Parts: sequence; structure tokens; C-alpha cells
Amino acid sequence: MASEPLLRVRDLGVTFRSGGADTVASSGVTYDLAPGEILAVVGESGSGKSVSALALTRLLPAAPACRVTGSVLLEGEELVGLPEERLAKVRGKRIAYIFQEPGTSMNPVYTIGFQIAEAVKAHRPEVTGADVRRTVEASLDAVGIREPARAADSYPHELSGGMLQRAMIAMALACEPKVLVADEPTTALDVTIQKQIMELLARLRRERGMSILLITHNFGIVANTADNVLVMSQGRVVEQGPVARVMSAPEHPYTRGLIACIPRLGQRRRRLPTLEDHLRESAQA
Amino acid sequence: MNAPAPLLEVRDLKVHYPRPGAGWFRKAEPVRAVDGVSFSVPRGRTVGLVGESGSGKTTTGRAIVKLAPVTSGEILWEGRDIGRLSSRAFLPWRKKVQMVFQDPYGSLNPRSDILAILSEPLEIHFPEMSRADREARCAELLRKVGLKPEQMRRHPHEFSGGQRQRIGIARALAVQPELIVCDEPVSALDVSVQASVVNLLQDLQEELGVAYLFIAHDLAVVEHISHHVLVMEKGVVVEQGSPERILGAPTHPYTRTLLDAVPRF
Ligand SMILES: Nc1ncnc2c1ncn2[C@@H]1O[C@H](COP(=O)(O)OP(=O)(O)OP(=O)(O)O)[C@@H](O)[C@H]1O
Ligand SMILES: Nc1ncnc2c1ncn2[C@@H]1O[C@H](COP(=O)(O)OP(=O)(O)OP(=O)(O)O)[C@@H](O)[C@H]1O
Ligand SMILES: [Mg+2]
Ligand SMILES: [Mg+2]
Repeated sequence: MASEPLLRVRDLGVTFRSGGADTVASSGVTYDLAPGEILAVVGESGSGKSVSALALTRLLPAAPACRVTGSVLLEGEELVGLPEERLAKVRGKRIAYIFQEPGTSMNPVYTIGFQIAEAVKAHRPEVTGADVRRTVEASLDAVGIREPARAADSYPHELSGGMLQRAMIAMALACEPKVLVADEPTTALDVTIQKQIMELLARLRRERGMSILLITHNFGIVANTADNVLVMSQGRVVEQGPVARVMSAPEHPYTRGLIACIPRLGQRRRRLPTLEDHLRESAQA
Repeated sequence: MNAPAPLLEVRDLKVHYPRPGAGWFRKAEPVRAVDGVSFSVPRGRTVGLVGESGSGKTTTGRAIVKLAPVTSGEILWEGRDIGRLSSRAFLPWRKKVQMVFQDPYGSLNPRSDILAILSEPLEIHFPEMSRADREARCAELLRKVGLKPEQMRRHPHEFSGGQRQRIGIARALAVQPELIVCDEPVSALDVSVQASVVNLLQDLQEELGVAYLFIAHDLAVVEHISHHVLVMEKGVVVEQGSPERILGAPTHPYTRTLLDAVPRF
């Protein structure tokens, strides 16, 4: 795509400081996200995927406990170093998040319906009165929740893990963001609903040109929905490129190992192979 | 006597909740989270539990560890009903049955460091253990799940999602239970770490005879680890059998829909 990127990330780094010692959680992260593009981020647990995504709008502890370096340009505007009041305006409306752990981002003392209604009212002032409740229920229905009215009346702890995850997706989408950061959005969902959610996201990028940064461990989802993929290991990007190329001809040994370890149905093995097993085998071959 | 009773047997379990939004005067149908579920888990075996989001999998698991109210039905441990015991009388079973929670963050005390989180069950169930021994045991547990023992003084928020999930697994393993209810234990892990955790669970089963009720959405992992598979939809088990049969030749329409939705690539 030749169009100007919506999001231009250069050399993004995150360092935590605790007990006088620095830990570099991620560094040198560089990518462009075009309007309507789905960029998948895969890689090791603890490799800095979530932290790099949270750094875009600095949803991280304040300095000096945490330092963010590099550059994040959103439609030409630099976000790194922007004061908190300005960043607060970017979150939700321009960059919305589906957090990895849905329980942490919902307020336990308000109903789901109340919280989604707040998001609707804040971002779509044209929706008023009884239409707010209708919009809330429609948004819960769109993410495949069987009883939208009951879910709206529920407190977070009264929903199942996957219902809560979908309620959070509904809330993020209610903000009609330009960029959606979806951090493991389908981990608590069965494959049928997972498919429905991914189709919904694909439609929104088509219809609204919403761009999606999709963090996931699920290669099936990467292969079926993303345009490009970025592979992270130990705080760094080790490989990036179009999904079809990376999946069929991975260049980095880490990527090759990861793809070799994907468990598949109908393939009865005594043990599941780990990266170490894969590396040992390829060294012997 | 006939055959010995299985380690765990669940008979016609129902868990109903009051409908949210219903008031004192507005009588409403309850939410039938679990609506008549029966199955058993033999000692040293793994029963996989899959199904629709919201179908009652977590509630079933929570009822077994006494964290969800049993409306009716029986939960039998080696033939003895433990579903109706008082919390006090249940205490000996707290050590025998552990749970790995679906939401790792919500289940770890944010104010405790990892050493304190892993020590707590040891202090309750092995009061004679010395401080140094407890610390050594925690280090060993962290290593087993692929985390660094040096990080045991950190708090839950200083870890990634998948690292927190592994802390939850380490905590469940700490007291060497006989049954672990694993609720989505590997959903936040990359395929390699997932493989090593699944291998670890299988090794412990071989060595110590632990049984698992393994709730997961990844059908390939369920097929791999389970001896028997249950499929739930809307509060009931719609189909159960060997993993080869359930995932190879399912008969219930819901199971077929589920298999059809597995992403191909
Ligand atoms: N608040 C914090 N303080 C200190 N270290 C942290 C903090 N948050 C994260 N880390 C560390 O930063 C590293 C990267 O974490 P991050 O959450 O980005 O991993 P991830 O790639 O999202 O992993 P996962 O797939 O397990 O979610 C991890 O090693 C983690 O322990
Ligand atoms: N404390 C509660 N109060 C009221 N309803 C509840 C409560 N806990 C669970 N429910 C309802 O019970 C049903 C089953 O929830 P459960 O968490 O057991 O589902 P699940 O199969 O684990 O789903 P998932 O795969 O999404 O985690 C849901 O409709 C949920 O809203
Ligand atoms: Mg993460
Ligand atoms: Mg659940």
C-alpha cells in the first residue's frame, strides 16, 4: 500500500526500573500500519508484545519506574512525550484497546451495560435516550452474546471469561477507533465464536478502514486474517513481512521453530515438541 | 463390591444463579449456568472439557472446588459426597483438589510477591515445612513452569500475561494435589511454552498419578492431552467419548459446528 501510514512506529523501546536495576522489556520496535491494515504480532511469552502496544499511548507506569523511547507518529502527530491530558484524548477515540486480561479493564462495581453506554455516549453524542440501550444491546449481539439484555444487566463477575472478553471488544468498537489494538482478543473463545469475532473485525476494517494491531499466539488467526506479521523474541523484532511469505518461508530460526511447534488436530504424538526440541532436531539433520 | 469408585464423580450437577436485574417483586427465570451435568474423572487420567463460551465449563470446575454454589446434584470423591460439606469439613479436600483459574490476574493477590503467593498453600497444608524449604520449593516450581526463580520477589503486575498464567499453574502444583481443575491453563502461552507446560502436566501424571479436568478451547491440545472428552453447550454435556471419536467422528451437531470452525492453514 502506497498510502501514508496511519501509525508510524520507529525504534520504540520500553525499560522498567525496579530496585535500582533496569530491565529492557522491548527495544528497536519499528513498523508502519496503513489505514485498513491488519498487522499481527506473534512471539514468545514475555517477549514484549503487550508492553510495546501499551507504550503507543503510554498505558504504562510513570517515569522513573518505566521509560519509553523512540517515536510513535499517529497521523503525523508524535505521541511519545505527549502530556497525559493529550494522550488521554488519543485513547479510546483514536487508538482503542482490547486488553489481554479483560477482567482488569472493566470496573467491578458497574454493570456491563452501564460501562458500554458510557463509551457510546462519550464517542457518539448523536446517540441519545433509549437509543443508547438499544446500541449497547446491539453491540453485545454483534459479538455473539446469546442474551444481550441479560449480559448488559450483569456485573463483570457474573459473565463467563469469553463473555467478558466479548463485552470488552464491544466496548472498544463502540468508540469507533482509527486503530484497534487487540491483545489476544480470542483466547477465551471457542472456535466458532472466534471465527465470528475475526469476521466482525475484518468487516470493520473493510467498511470503516479501521487498522488493527493484532497480538496473538494463534497462527490459524494470523494466517486467515492478517496482512503482515511481526515476530518478537526476547524484546526484539526478529522477523517481519507479509503473512503468506513468513508462514510459508520463515527466515529466522525462531520463527521456523515456532511454526514447527503448532499443535494440529489428528496428529497424535506422544509429546508436544518445544522450540528446544525443534532446534536440537534441525542441528542433527 | 463392584469396581472401585472413581476419584471424582459428578452426578446431575445443577448450578443456577438469580437473573441479574430481577428485583424482589419481579420473579424471573434463573440463569441455568450448569443444568444437569454428569461425568467422572478416574485417578491419574485427564478429562478434557470443551464447549461454547458461556456454556458452564468454569462454573462446573468452580463447583468441584467449592467456589460455586451447588443448586442440586452430587459431587462424589471416591464415592463420598463432598458437594454439601461445610467449608471447614471441606478443608482436607482443599489440598487434594486445586484449580488453575481462567483469569490469572484476578486470582493472584496484587499486593503479594510471588514467593508469598506460592508459599500460602504450603503454609496451610504443610505447616511443618521450614521457611528455607518453602523458598526452595517455590524456586523449583518456578523453574518447572519456565520462570526465573530470581523473580520471586516481584509482584503479579510486573509479569506478562503468559507469565502470570504460569504462576497460577505453579501455585496449583505446590501442594501436590490429586486432581487439578485446569481452566484454560495454556491459552496465553506461545506454542513452545504451551508444549512444555503440557509436557510437564503429563510428566506429573505419569510420576504422581495426578488427574486433570482440562478446560480449553484449543481442540488440538485437548485431543493431545485427554483420555476422555466432554462437549458442553448451554449448561449440559451434549456429547462425550474418547478424543479420537469426539474430534474424529463427532455425532452431535454442535461438536460438528465446532470442528468446522477450526481455522485451516
Ligand atoms: N510493570 C512491569 N514491571 C517490570 N517488568 C515488567 C512489567 N510489565 C512487564 N514486564 C516484563 O516485560 C517483559 C515483556 O512483557 P510483555 O507483557 O510485553 O510480554 P508479552 O510478549 O505480552 O507476553 P505474553 O505473551 O506472555 O503476554 C516481561 O519479561 C515482563 O516480565
Ligand atoms: N456469579 C454468577 N452470577 C450469575 N451468572 C453467572 C455467574 N457466574 C457465571 N454465570 C453465568 O453462567 C453461565 C456459564 O458461565 P461459565 O463461566 O461457567 O461459562 P464457560 O463455559 O466457562 O465460558 P467461557 O468459555 O466463556 O469461559 C454464563 O451465562 C454466565 O453469565
Ligand atoms: Mg502479553
Ligand atoms: Mg470459563
